[in-house]
Amino acid sequence: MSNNDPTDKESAARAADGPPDASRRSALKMLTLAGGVGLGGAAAVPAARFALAPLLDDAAGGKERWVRAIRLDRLRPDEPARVALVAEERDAFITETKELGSVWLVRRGADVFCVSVACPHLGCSVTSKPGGAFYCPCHDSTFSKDGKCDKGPSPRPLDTLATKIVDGWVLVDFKKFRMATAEKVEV
Amino acid sequence: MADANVTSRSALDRHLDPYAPSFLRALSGAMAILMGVMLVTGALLMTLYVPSPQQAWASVHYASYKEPLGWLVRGVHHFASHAMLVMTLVYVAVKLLAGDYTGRRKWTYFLTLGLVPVVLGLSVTGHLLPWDELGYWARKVETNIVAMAPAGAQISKLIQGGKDWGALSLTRFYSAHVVLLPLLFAALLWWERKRTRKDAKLEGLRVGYGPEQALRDMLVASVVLVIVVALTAASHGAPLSGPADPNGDYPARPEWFFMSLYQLRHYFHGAMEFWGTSLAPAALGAWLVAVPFVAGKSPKVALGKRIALLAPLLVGLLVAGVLGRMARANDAADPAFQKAMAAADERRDVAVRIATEKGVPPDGPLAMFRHDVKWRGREVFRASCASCHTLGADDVGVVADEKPGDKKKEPAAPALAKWSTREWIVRVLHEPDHADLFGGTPYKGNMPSQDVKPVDADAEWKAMTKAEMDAVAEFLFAEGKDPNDQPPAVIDEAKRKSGEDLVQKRCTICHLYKGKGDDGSNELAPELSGFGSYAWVRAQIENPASKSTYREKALDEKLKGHMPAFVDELSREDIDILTKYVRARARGLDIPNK
Repeated sequence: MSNNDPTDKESAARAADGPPDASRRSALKMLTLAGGVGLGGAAAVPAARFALAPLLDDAAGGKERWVRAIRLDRLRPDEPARVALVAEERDAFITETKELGSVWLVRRGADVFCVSVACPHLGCSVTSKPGGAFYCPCHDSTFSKDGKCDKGPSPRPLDTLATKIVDGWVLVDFKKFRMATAEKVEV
Repeated sequence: MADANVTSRSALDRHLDPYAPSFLRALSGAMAILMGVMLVTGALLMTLYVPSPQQAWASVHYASYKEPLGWLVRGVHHFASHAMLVMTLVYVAVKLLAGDYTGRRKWTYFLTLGLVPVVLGLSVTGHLLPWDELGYWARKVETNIVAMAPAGAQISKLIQGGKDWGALSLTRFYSAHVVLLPLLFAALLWWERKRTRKDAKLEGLRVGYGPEQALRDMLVASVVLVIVVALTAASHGAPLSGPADPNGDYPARPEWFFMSLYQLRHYFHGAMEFWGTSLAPAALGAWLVAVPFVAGKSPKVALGKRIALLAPLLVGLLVAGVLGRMARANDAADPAFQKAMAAADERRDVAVRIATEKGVPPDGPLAMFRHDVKWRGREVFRASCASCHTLGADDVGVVADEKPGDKKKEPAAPALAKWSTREWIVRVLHEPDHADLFGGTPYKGNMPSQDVKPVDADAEWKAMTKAEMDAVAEFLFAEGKDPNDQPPAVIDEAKRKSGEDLVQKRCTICHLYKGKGDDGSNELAPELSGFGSYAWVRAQIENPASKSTYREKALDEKLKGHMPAFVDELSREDIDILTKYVRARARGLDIPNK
């Protein structure tokens, strides 16, 4: 209320008329708030861009990728063989030669039938049953030897992959597909 | 007003009075104490954990098996996280029973509810960090379930840090587990406890967090911790399944808290699947949020009504428990699942053994399997040899290389059990065309028995005596010995020498010995020097027609069904491993570990 220091102009002004002080305080508050929002916003945009990066990664597949699987004469007629496809692949910051995935290969006459082992339901690996059928141990989907879903929750048949035979070796055009969709969408 | 309330309270209400010292009210304090335990054990684990697919499993293995008391620290962190989930649910139930959600307290109750998804999130993210089969496959399947939701494809991309599971999934889960979710949990719990006291103050109740309540908080926390430590001691730390193999065939199952939803999934297929399994938990959550509104405006809810409002939570948990038990019972009765789990357990034991003995190579635990003679040797044998050869019952235990009654392999190459041992050699001398020897091969009829007179025998033919056959066996067995064999071969030198003389007299008519044969006219019988040694076996696998074992004719078109050359098909390391594996298994040696 009382201020005895004549050199303090601000205080003098505050003593003289109260309201300007309140408005000054609220102006400062607003300024701080605006600054805070500005700072936060400036930080939030790159932060969001950083954290949401996976959403912007929509490099479509579609490219052919032929991977050598097994010697053709190693496959017995009509007997499914589980073969891992090994090649170099980059996973974010690491590049290594590793198993890209596995396939079931079945030699049928001159052709080799190939399905990915990944169950199209939720991605577990299907196993082979006597008689050439396939079975997923996670949610009991059962597939015929042509990959058709006979029973269980899988929304589509097993994903077939293209094969070709070069110099006695079976090559597979390896791809991955989205899970749990009725249509086969490459990822 | 407040006084009137106090006097009209029943015994139960007095016990549940938020503001009088009470054990039931000690839960949030005990949770705060447990949070401290989680922070300390978590920080300790962070001193050695590496969030990368190559090193996560190795570092968690190190924490569990090598770091002094690491098993205890990791075990307490693991079991305390489960305790935290149980305590949070009990705390919500207690609040419902106490009717602690009227008026202003409604918002405090919402903060309590908010703890549930955060604790669950901590558990879900934490279970992935070891990058073991269990955590990896559970999260992978769950993310694919999330992808079924509207906009699910985008959400799952965000969760897993890209289109597929990989290094960025792990770093994202790690960040959420050690920074985002703990901060959220601490903030929620702190705010909830602060608000609880303020609620009471505004209602004119005596407020205080005195020593009486603090003691009770500490006692409840101690009981929980005793259980946590007991569970840790009983299982000697937290479980660690085998290293995650994105390309393996692990039968994925979720942790106990999602087991009921896993079971529910069996009843809903197709378009119903997502909603069938997410509506039930969503409905329960919605109900818990709705309780304060359903309860009405009265500040005091009658006990009967409170119990009725609590009932859906209890029924939901009960149903979840029953569904979870059903899922476990189904698995217990499923031989295929049991077999897959047994194989997974064996793989885990092997991984733990190698990692403990030798450590994990920089390219990760999957590479560790690729370098292990016992593991990789069996794998390559099954993939490349087992279609023609057998190797006898498996010493590792769970999965045998072949079972009795398996259909006869065609073409049937010699059974390799006991191959190149004295016993096997004597048998070859006696009945080379037995089905287990060369009877199923194109060589059938090429080697005569040495002690059974052939029909077209000339006058000079003389049966080999038992002693002579033993001497030949001693010599050929000695040819295959290696100084590193365990147990080492013990050779009768005199016997070996007489065997060598016999071989040079009687066998080199057809066989090569040190690159030479008497006339070589047959051109089929293999080299006998070094027979059964590493070099011989390796040469045979690489190329059976190199003259180090068999000759050019061995790969002749007319001998269709003869062993093929693997030199272009298998990597050098695989050939090396396969040689060591087959030789050790056949000769009854310890399988070398490098």
